[in-house]
Formats: sequence, structure tokens, C-alpha cells
Amino acid sequence: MAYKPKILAFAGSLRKESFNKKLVKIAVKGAQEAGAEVTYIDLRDLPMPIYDQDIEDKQGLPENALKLKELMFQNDGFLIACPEYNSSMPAAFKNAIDWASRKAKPEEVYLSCYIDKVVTLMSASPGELGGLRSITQVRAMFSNIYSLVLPKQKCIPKADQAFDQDGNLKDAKQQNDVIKLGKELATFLEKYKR
Amino acid sequence: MKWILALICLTLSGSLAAETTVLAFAGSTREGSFNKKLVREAADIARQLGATVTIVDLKDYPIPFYDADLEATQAMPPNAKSLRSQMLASNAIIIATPEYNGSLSAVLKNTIDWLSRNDEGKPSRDAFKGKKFAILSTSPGPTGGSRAAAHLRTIIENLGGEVVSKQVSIPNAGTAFNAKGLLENDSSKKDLREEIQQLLQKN
Repeated sequence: MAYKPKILAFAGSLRKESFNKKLVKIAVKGAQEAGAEVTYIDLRDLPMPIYDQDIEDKQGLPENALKLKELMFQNDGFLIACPEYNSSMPAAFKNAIDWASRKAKPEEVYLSCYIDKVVTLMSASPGELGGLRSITQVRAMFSNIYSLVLPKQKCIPKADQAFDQDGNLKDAKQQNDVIKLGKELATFLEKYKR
Repeated sequence: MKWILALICLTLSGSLAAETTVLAFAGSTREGSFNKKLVREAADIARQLGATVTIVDLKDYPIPFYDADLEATQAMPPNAKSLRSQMLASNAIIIATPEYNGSLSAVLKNTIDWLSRNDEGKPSRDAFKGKKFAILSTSPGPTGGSRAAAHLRTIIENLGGEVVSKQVSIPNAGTAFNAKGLLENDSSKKDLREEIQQLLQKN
């Protein structure tokens, strides 16, 4: 049976009308068109306490961290749209990544939910750089925890004017580029997992 | 003559720092945090050099994750307001950051994100612009948190903060501190002192 790429997709933002949620959903369409099975999640549905090792030592991983880990284990690729707050990633996003990086069981291989996962990054921001500085730091972070971050990424500047009422990008080239990002993650996974 | 020169130098370095109000904190809330130890030693040095130093523990200032929806309804949470007013009242800031997955901790990033807003829910650099920052880091591993420190530098500089060039990262934190919580290694202590001197130097 042919391998069907499995992709987890989410945005690094909690805000309901988040530009990055809209953005990643466009990439999701591309991945699905290329035959991937995509699970879209919203970090707003997985609230977790701010990471503190004392909490981990006393209570273990919170329920939602375990859920996120499980989703990461079940998927081979991540489609992530991450906003830029002060040149870097939002704390809630970093927090989710940090909790998920911790061992759920002593016999678990450390960072195994990140090792060899293939990641595609994108960002939308009201500013002129479109979130570039943030995903530069996100890229470094994922590389540090042994995920393979694909070279192609997309930044959407002036995000407050870039989307139409259906959540699609008004600029046809941008829309197409983002759909392609999703497609290319799916086709890369097909080759990679063969 | 030597002792006269020494006395002058001591007085000068003291008076250079005398008008400096320093805020110091670690990017970790853990009880036994290595970065908190580092902050305490850095704060002591700053006090010896004549600065007024306040250490805060982010554990005492729990703040919900920055979320624009939350901000729209509730403006700035009280703990964020309190920290921000302490930042505004300081002219030099010492931050020691741990390294989680190659970057800063969420608690530190969240604090910075709220500090970059004002209580009208608008962006504001007032807590960073024109202030001097000393970045420190320590971690149990061999990089000593230097990747997180590099990310932190970018964040603070882009907010208008002036980060001193010396940036001390202490590797192998598990054995780097003695029973009193002070750095064992003389070379590390010297580096730390140099960094704090840079922080307190008037331009």
C-alpha cells in the first residue's frame, strides 16, 4: 500500500482571527490536494500551564501536552504558521513545543516526537517583513531538536490587508505559493518515507 | 601614590554606578534555578559597584499568555503592569536566560511580550528603549545557554535596548556553582564582573 503522508498543521497564535491560522489553512489545502492526511489543531484548544520544571517534577506532563505529543508522534510532517512577536515566536507556541519536548515516560527517547519530523514554516504579519525574524528563530529551534526544516518558507507582509473574507490571500501568486508549500511538504514526505 | 590612585578609581567606579537603578531577573521560575543563582551573583557585583539593584522572581509575577483577544478585553494584567513599571523605573537590566530547545523559555518570552505593550493595549518600547541590558545564561549542557542568549539579544536590540557586548554563558551548570550558589570558576567570575562593569559604565 502506498504511503499516505500524515501532517499536523497549526498556527503559533491564540487569537481567534489570527492571520496565521488563515495562512496555515491555505497550506493545508495544498497538502490535502497532494494526497496527505492533514490534522489541523488550534493551540487555543490545548491550554497548558507555563513550563516550570518544578511542575513537571511534581505532576508530570499536563494532559494537553500529552495530547500534543501524541499528535506529533502520529504525524510525520508539521505545517506551521508562526506569528512574530518582538522578532521571535509567541510564548504560547514556545511553551507548547517545550512541554511536548519532555519525556512522557522514562523509557521514551528524548525529543523523539521531533526527531526526523519534516517541518514547513510560514508566517503572516502586519509588518513589512511578514514575520521573517520570527521564523528564523523557529527554524533554528526546530533544527536544534533534530527536525528537518525544509528550505522553502513563506512570509506574508501587511497581513491585515492580505486576506479576503474567505480567508484566502488576495494576491494570486501568494495564494499559489502557500498552496505549493503544503503540496511540497506532502511530496517530500512521500519520497522521504519510501 | 598607588593607594591614592586606587582610591580614586574606586570612588570613580562607585560614582559611575551610583545613579544606576538595576532590575535583575532570571527567565526561569524553578526553585533551584541556576539562572537565578547567576542573577544573584550579578546583582551583588552591581551593588558592590554602587548601583541600586532589585531582583525579581518571575514566579511571583504569574501572567497569562499574551493573546491579543485577552488584551482587547482586559488590557494589561496587573502583574505585567507591576513588572513594567519596575522596568520603566530602571535604567539597567540584567537578564539570565535558560535554554529550552535552543531558545528562550516561554515564561521569559511572555514577560517580554507583555513588557512591549502599554496599558492601553498598544505597542510600546518604553520599557526597553535607551536602557542598558546585560544578558547572561547558564545551562547544564556544554553551550551554557548561549543559543537562547543569542535569540534574546536580537529580541532586546530590536526593541531598542542597548545590550552590552560581553555576554557570559556558563556551561555545565550542575557543577559550576558552589554550595553557596556562587560560581566556582575564577575565570567565570572575572567575566561576570567585566560584564556588569560594562553594564554600569556611563557612555
